[in-house]
Amino acid sequence: MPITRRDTLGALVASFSLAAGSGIVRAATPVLPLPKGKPVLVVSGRITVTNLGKTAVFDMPTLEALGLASITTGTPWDQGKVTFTGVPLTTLLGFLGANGTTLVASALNDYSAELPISDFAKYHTLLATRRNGQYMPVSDKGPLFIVYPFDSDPDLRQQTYYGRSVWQINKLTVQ
Amino acid sequence: MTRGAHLSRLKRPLFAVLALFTGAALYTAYLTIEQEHAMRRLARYDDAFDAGQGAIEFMRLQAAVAALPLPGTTVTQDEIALRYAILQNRLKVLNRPSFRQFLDQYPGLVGTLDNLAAVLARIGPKLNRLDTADAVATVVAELTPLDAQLTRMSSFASNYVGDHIAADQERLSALHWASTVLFIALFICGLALIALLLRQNRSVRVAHDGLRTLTHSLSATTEELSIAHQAAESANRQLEMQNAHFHAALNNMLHGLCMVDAANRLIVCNTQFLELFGLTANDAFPGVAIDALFATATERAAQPRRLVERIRDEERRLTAARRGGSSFTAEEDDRALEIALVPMQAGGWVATYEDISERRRIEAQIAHVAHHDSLSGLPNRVLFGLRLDDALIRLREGRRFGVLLLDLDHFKDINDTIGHAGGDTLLQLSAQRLRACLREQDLVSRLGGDEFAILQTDIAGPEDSASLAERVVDALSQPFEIEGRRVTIGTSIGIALAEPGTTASMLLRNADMALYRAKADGRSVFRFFEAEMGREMHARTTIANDLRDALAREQFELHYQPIVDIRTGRLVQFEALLRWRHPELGMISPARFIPIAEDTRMIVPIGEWVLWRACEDARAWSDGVRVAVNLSPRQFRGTNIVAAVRKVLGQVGLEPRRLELEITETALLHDSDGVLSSLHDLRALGISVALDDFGTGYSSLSYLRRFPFDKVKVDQSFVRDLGLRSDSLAIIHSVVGLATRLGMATTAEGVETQEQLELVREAGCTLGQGYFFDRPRTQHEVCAALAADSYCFGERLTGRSGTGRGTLTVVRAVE
Repeated sequence: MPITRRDTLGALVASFSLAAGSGIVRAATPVLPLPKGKPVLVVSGRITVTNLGKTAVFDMPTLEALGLASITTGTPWDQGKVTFTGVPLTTLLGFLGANGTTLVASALNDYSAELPISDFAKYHTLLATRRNGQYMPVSDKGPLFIVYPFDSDPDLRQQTYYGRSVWQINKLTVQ
Repeated sequence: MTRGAHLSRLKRPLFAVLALFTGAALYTAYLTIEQEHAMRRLARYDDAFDAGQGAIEFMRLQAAVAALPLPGTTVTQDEIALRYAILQNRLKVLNRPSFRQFLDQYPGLVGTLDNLAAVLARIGPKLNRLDTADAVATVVAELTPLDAQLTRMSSFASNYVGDHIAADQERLSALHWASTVLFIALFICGLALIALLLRQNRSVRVAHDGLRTLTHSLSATTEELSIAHQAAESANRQLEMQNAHFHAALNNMLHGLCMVDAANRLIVCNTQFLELFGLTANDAFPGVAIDALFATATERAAQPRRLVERIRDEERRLTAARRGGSSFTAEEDDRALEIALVPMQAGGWVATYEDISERRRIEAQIAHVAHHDSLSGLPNRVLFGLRLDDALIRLREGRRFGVLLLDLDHFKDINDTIGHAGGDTLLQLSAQRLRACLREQDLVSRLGGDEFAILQTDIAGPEDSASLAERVVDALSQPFEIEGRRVTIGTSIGIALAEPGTTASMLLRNADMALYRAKADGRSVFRFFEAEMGREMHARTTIANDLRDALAREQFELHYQPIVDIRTGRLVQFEALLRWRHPELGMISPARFIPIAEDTRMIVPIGEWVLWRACEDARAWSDGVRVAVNLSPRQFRGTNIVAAVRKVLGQVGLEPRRLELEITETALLHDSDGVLSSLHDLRALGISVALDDFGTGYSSLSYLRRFPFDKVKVDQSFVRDLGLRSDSLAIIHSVVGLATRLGMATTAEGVETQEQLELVREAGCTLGQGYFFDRPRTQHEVCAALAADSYCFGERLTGRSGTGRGTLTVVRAVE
């Protein structure tokens, strides 16, 4: 389903007023501010930390503020080794209080894949924001790209994991 | 054998099955790898998907552009930009080498991606200006020709991948079949293997059964053999036992045994025989010639050579004589063998050999013990008697001989001093010296104690005996070294020469009398027996016998001679002098009977009587007059003189200071420590002690230093010689000088003239005694004189010689 800018903004506003109106802000629960810049990611499903309705919406700075890690590896789509930088999926899901077994990653081209959440702790799977230090444009697998460290484990170098390496991500759903 | 072949035949299929298993296992591994490869190919990146996605994304861009100008459209400029970017991304993905290779296989598809890239490049700038229908139409017109190309590419990719999948599936299926077939084959092989194993097991069991049967029959045979073997062994054992018995008997004999056949070859001998002759079992093998064996024994020299030769000679002689059993003794040096020889019925002979050397030695030892003194090793009285008898027999042939009897001077005293062990050593050393003095044919014997006898054979005359006696006296007067002490002893010898008609006992008695004489003559001399000695001996014996009764018969008397202070003339004391009034012989001089009393130890009771009598008499004298009593050296030996003196003083009630005891140097000669100790005790009682007869005997001034005598009495011989020999005065001077310096009084004995008195007084003597003053008198006379106050010699000391006898006259008048 295509996501328009207007929808996104409306959802963000609605979420904000709802949260302010109810006044339910617990000290133990991390507070996710509404994105100030262009939203790049909407997370929905079984999460406890939200900022817009039942979803958590991130702009790039907010997402990267969760903490960055890097993977340097070869991929079937690049020649030579490439360094990806981004937020480990365990960090992201941990921050959001995710409580599920499967993560559905959806892309701008409407491609989607189901990823077992257990992969992330096992392989330190990254939600990459940068490639070789540069933000990735949509024309080159941006803005977000799930990357497995293919070089570190031969088991990763097969279609199952290539299929899970979703690019042009704009939506994640915890199931 | 057939079973073995069968087993090996079974082995071949077994190995074949095993090889099959191995092959199957390897093939399974290969299949597994192949399968994995196929799976990997299947899982390869899906080119078809990418191609399809590209077509879709192209069409969505095309649709979005076309829909933009339509009224009521929801398409925005942003969406078109997004679609464009997505398509650009796809182009990059598809531009990978593997996908381009795929495209190159189809001529119709070559250039598709390049066309797409060119179109995208062209429309890119135009997408921002799609506000007119023309602009949109231009872009759509640009995009439209690519529709067919991209669709073709997508379908070709689908087909290509589909074909590959079909091929891979086929291969997988083939692999699957291969696996299945292999599994079945393995299963069959397993079954075959089990069957083969079962079969082999049965074969083994059959083989095992066969073996068991064979074993049974074998063990039965073995048992039979063992029974037979046992029987043989038992027979053997019996033989062995008999043999062992024989050997045991042979080798446990005390004697050596040797059995020889008729040809004089050894049949058997025992270990004792071998040992006896220093032979080994190798020397004495059965069949060796007995002469050769004895020749070997001679070389071995276990027995004296001549002994072995003599034995063999005698054996040869006896066997040649062909007599019955006979025996002989062979002796050589200290070895002795007794051989018994018995001929055997079948010819040859048996000999036994007994070593009787030890027996002979013991016999000789016993004979020696019986005839010798164990201490000195010299012949004893028995052997001496036997040899003396022999000599007496030879005397009839004119071969003269002498008997020398000797004892060691003062041996008893020395024995007391150096102890019995020392005494024994002294006797042994003396025996050695005696032996050294003798010729080989002479014999020295220890008769007992310190008594030795020499049998001097084949002498020419008395001078031979005299010369031997001189040598002996000289040899024994040399000092001995005993236990680190220097001991000097001498010997006195009595010699009796054998005369025709003398007997052994006469000879010994005569020699004894001569010995007595030698001792009486001052010891360390020798004397020949003379007929006169027999008479002398008789007289001595008479005196000795009579002495025993003299005390009881009150034949002894004491006479008292005054001792005067020669400076004042005052009477100081009387010396008690013993007299024996013999009923037949009259007055006997102490010089004659005292030595006999000392020898017979009668001196002890006599001495006690003298002491008692003197003290008793002295009590009757005026105060201050003391009594001097002589003690014999014998009285210090074996009796407690101190106790005896104290007892007498107590009984009599005489003050000890009124008693003076006189001893001679001889008393100090032996055991001087004991004597000195007694003297100290006596002095402690308050009794004074005088050294009598100083200057005679040993005349050692050292005695004066060994005991603090109260008085020294200078022997009368010096006083008597005063006018005759000049050295007498010098001696008196030095003795008196020394005694004075030691704080001792001196008495000059035997002063008879005024001149002598003057000389001794000038020499420093303090006291005088002798006929110049008065002769010894009886107690009765003394008492009378004392009562008359006649014992005052002051006038006589003034030098009016010639009138000196005046007082004596007075005294005699009193008597």
